[in-house]
Amino acid sequence: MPAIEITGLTKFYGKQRGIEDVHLTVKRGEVFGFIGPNGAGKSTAIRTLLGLLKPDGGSARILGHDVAKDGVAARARVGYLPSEISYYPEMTSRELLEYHAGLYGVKDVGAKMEELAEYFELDLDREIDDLSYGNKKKCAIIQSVLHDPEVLILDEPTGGLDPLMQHRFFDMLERLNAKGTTVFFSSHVLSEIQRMCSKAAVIREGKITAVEDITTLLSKQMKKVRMVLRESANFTLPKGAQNHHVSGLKHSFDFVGSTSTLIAWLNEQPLVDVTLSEPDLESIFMNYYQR
Amino acid sequence: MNKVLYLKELKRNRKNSLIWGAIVLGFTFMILSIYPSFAEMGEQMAQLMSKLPQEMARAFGIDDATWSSIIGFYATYYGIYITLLMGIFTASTGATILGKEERDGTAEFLLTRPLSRRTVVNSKYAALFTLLLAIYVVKRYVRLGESCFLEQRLIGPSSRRCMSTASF
Repeated sequence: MPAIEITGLTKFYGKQRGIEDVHLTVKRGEVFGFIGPNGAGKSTAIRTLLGLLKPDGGSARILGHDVAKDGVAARARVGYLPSEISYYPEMTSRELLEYHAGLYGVKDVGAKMEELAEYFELDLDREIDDLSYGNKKKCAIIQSVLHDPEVLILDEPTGGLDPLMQHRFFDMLERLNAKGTTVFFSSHVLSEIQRMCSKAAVIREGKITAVEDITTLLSKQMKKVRMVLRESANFTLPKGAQNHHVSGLKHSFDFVGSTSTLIAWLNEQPLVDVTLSEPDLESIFMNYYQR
Repeated sequence: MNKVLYLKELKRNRKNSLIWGAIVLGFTFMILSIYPSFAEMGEQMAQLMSKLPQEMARAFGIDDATWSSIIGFYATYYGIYITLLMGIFTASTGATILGKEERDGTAEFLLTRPLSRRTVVNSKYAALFTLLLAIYVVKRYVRLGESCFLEQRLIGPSSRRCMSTASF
């Protein structure tokens, strides 16, 4: 039985498109990426999975439980990290987390809560209203894993976290995944998905445009190459390069293809400096769009 | 109904209920304290009121008992206001107990827990009903105690009259 199974899921907000005919299967134990630009329908899909929205068509199952008909059973086995956190402002993190655990019928979370709070450096006794965005996020992270869920649904989890905390968060996810937790990871940052996920779905304008292994996604991924040459040189660009711009000794182009080919080619040039960067998401989508 | 949610709602509405309880009790003391002065001019009032058309008197809930006994006085003057006060408490708390979750965005927290929407509504209204009952019970016994005290002061110790108040 798959962890998450989405079949033909469709949700419209009036005439406005939310998601349209989305099909996805996430196997148990997988770390599955869900990537797309803002407004592509990532949150709509996730909110439907959690029963916050009623689908207009199709269905979704979490560990076999239909989310529309048997949402309580489905949610009991899910940990959810929302992208925008609104918790009871007058509660402290400790009160919120104890309340949360109580609603799942989990008792004696004190030790685990303390341990996680120490790991993420969160003061449990401060009121949520007084916490910064990053600290609220930490509280939400602890909340999402406190009741030992079998499936973790993370909606843009790293926003507001500093690099150290992001690192610890990813470490924690890896440990949980090693123990068998399935992770559904939504993001608009490709490098996060690259780092964490074995498989990813690309969503654009409410439709899934690709479901691929991360290695395939990477090989199709475009890189932006910027190089500064020592002297002007006559060269032919490697195969897969496009949008070549020259300004004096500075060259820039986009490259799609094998990374080792690119490195070998670069090695033959009289380089002063070279930068390889991840293009913005839109150009990756354009890349997918063109194919 | 979910016990954890029910208890949390009792706790979250504790302060609000204490304030309303205090208002209701204060009002009880105030209204019943002015009964003695009404009782003193009971005869005159009864005569005055008997000149009113019967239908009109009935429409305003005024009859002989209004002036001659504390029960009648309670029924006319106190009952109607206390019903109103309890009504305001119920309406305002009843509206915010769900509306606040929506407004503060915390409804998302609650609805992504393993609770059905029906369970959320039932638990919250069970908590509201409990608080309402608590205020009512406290108010009732305070009123009984005070009217008993007033009756005995006005017409001397009379366990029979006091019993009739208590059974009201």
